[in-house]
Amino acid sequence: MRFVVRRILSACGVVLTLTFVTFLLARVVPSNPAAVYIGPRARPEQIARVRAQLGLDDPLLVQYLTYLRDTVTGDWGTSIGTKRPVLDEILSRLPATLELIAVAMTVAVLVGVALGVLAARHPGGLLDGTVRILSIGGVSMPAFWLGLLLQIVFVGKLGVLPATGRLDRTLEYTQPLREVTGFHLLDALLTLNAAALSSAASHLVLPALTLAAYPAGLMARMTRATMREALEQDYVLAARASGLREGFIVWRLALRNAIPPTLTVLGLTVAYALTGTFFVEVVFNWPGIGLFATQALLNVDYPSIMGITLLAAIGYLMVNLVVDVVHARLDPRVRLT
Amino acid sequence: MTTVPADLLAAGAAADSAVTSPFGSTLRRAGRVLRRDPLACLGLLLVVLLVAAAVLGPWIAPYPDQGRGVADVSSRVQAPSAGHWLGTDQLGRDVLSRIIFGARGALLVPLLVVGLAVLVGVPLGAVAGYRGGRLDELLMRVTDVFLAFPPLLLAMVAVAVLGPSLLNAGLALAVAWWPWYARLVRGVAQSLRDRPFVEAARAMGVSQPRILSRHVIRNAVTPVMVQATVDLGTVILAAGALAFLGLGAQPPAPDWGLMVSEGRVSTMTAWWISTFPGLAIFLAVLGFNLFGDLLRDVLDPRDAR
Amino acid sequence: MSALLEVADLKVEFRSHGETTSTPLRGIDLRLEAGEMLGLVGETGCGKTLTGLSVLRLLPASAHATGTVRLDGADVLAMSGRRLGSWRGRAVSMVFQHPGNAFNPVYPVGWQMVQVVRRHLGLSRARARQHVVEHLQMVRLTDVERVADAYPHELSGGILQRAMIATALLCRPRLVVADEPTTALDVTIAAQILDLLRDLQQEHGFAVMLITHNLGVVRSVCDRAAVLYAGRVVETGTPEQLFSCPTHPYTRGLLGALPVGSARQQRLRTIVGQVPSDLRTVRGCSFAPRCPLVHDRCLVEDPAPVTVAVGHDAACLLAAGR
Repeated sequence: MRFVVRRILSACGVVLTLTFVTFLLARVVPSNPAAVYIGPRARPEQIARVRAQLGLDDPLLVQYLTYLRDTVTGDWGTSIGTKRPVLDEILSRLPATLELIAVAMTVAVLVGVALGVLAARHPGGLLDGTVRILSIGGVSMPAFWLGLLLQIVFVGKLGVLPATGRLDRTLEYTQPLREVTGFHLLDALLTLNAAALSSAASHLVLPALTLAAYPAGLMARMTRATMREALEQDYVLAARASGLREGFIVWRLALRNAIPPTLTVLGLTVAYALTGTFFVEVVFNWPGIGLFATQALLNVDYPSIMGITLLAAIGYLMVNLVVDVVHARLDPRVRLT
Repeated sequence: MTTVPADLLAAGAAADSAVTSPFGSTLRRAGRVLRRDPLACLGLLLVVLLVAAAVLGPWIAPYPDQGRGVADVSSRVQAPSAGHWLGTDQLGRDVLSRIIFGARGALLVPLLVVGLAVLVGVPLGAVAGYRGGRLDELLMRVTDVFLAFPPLLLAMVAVAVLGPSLLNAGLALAVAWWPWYARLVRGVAQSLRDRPFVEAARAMGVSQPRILSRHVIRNAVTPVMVQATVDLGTVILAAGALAFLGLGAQPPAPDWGLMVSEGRVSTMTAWWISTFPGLAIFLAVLGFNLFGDLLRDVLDPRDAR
Repeated sequence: MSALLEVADLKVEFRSHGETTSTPLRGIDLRLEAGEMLGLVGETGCGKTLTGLSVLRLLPASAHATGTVRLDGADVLAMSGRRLGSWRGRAVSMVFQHPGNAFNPVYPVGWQMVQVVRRHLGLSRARARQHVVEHLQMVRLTDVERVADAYPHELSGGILQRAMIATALLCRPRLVVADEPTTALDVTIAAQILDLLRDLQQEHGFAVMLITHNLGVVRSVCDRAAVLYAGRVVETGTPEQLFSCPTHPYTRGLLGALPVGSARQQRLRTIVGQVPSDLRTVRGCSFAPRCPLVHDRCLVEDPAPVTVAVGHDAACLLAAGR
């Protein structure tokens, strides 16, 4: 328990530092922060107003503290592009992105680990070679290119899956989906809307696969390596000597030892997922944070950029924290440190 | 002054020869790995192709002017054919030539980025890891902030602030990347700090910079080289991604990521415009990843897969 | 009358890419009677561990074994995979050298033992747990519940080794192969473990193949012993026969190398030379290059075991002369 508290505290420290950095980036780096804040098409009186609003003539520390206070109370500024509060924009788009990441990561972990284990059981075999190729291919593939390829093949040539968006437009008239959580799959299940469920699922397939390619490849590579090492350990030999079944030895005894090192990689893949969604959402026109962020970056929408940066940092740190905790639970030796 | 015991001297000398591996045996090991592993050969081949395209670009491209960006409106959007092996884009430019010309940027940007990251990160990490104490603490805090962030995201934000261009993208990526090398070398330095041969060197009065350069950095060379090779591929990916979003190279540069983005409007009708540049990125990254694996197998056989 | 374990002409070679890279076992012949403790002695690399593993057919994928290993009438090398799975742990079991490594670090010790019980005896979880607890008591452990619930890294080497012996006996095997069970333990604990093993053996009647490089261990607990050199058995007999009348020059060398009493000023006596590194090319007696009694015949002829006395064999051309 103390372990968890310590990690949370250190994560808070990092987030705090990060807020300071983003603050500096927005206020100190540009020569005219007010103009930058409000956008390229501002008029002089608007700029002056923003200067007063942001308190740009106050000492830096005061500015930072006000910024901190605003952030904590939920005022993350107003988006230059949409003119709505940044926090609202982010929160309204969050479920779409989270749904995509959740599905993609689940697929990636399940497929990646399974492939890694299968490859490790017969080193040097055909499956091993195939998994090696697939995993290194997955890791090398640009997400935006894979997405386009999948669109060309499955939408253009085969016509079996939709190209963009989260739901069939026509559903709005026939069987509109009532939003409960914002996660379309969940909502469709909860409201017993079969048409929406199938539509949401079919729209998820290509984006999720695109996003899953890299993490799956990484997990397969790592699992293969750690499983090979685990299978060479004395306890596997001892388990065989006791007559335990091979399937049990591989999937329950060895895998439990092979998973913890792969968890550190999982943290890395979440970092990838955070940036990967940018591209996947752009290619598939998925209305999530990534699409919003890309537009914000191109328009130099400062408040939005800073808000997204903060969100990304918090999310990343939280995931790393969860990964550490799970690691400690799976490997009893870690709890001592 | 007391004389140094002979065994300490011997330890130092032995450590020296333990650090440097004879070049000949490394080459032989490389040959063995290449013969056994077809994927390693593929990696080598892809990297060589990339370098060849970058160096010989203007001479081997079938339509060099179009490669540089000159349009040929009469042959717009042509499917792959005998005249244009990979087709032409919306401005009639030969896709193959543009890809070949794009190799130069694809290679130079990662070299710049990784080079900078190594030049900055390695010395910092070495000093901090070896000296420890407050310098180390400071480095850890700073890198913590950087590492709390996916590097690509950091680069994206930096480019948005600085303005989209290839150079800014490169600089932003370098800034995002150096902490990884600092941490890597710091780890090596820490593990070496208390080893007997380093103590022996200290006892003999070898100055700190000398210890750092001869022992710490020499030992860090292998992991840094392997990481750098793979990172070359990752940076190609990142730079291409930035260009795809419009945050990197700008038109009419023959940047692969940019070309994928330009071809997006005609994905369904003219699939070749986006597909081939993307394929080029994929093969380049694949090549560096495989080459990195090869390097690791050759230089550090203990990590045999 | 057939013995419990009969190993005949056991050869093991390692192959890589179709080529034989080494032949660590070049024709092992052994007999083990029911309830007997046979010591397998030799220096590192002579093939004793591999012999033990062969009895359970626990060889790595690159190893190819020929010959027969007959346990209770069944040929282990010819068994189907399925039969082998129910054979191991039940008819024969193994105790390993490093108890800390032989247990899975991420599961409690008791849980791992329960898995073995349920695999072979099909008991319910509660009954299996009871069975495990009884066996932990049998190996003279106190605070048995705590041991069963503990993770391997929380227990000392001595306790873990007892637990491993308990695991080996869970399904009442007829033969237990113990691979250097006391080498990794300190001397007093080692003595206790050996006593335990001996007592359990006499109480429950299973046979033990004790693999060791320690001649003292052989002398104190074994009924009979076989000396291995370079993948072959060079001498077999009771400890008394081996110690009082060592016939094979290698055995003589081993015994001669034992430090005698308090002779501090003397240098330790060693056997000159080294074990041949590539056993594939050995001609004649494998010990010939190092043998102080070597003749020309020894370099050409491969000596077969010769009976020196009842139950005492030695594979040396000179033994025949006695």
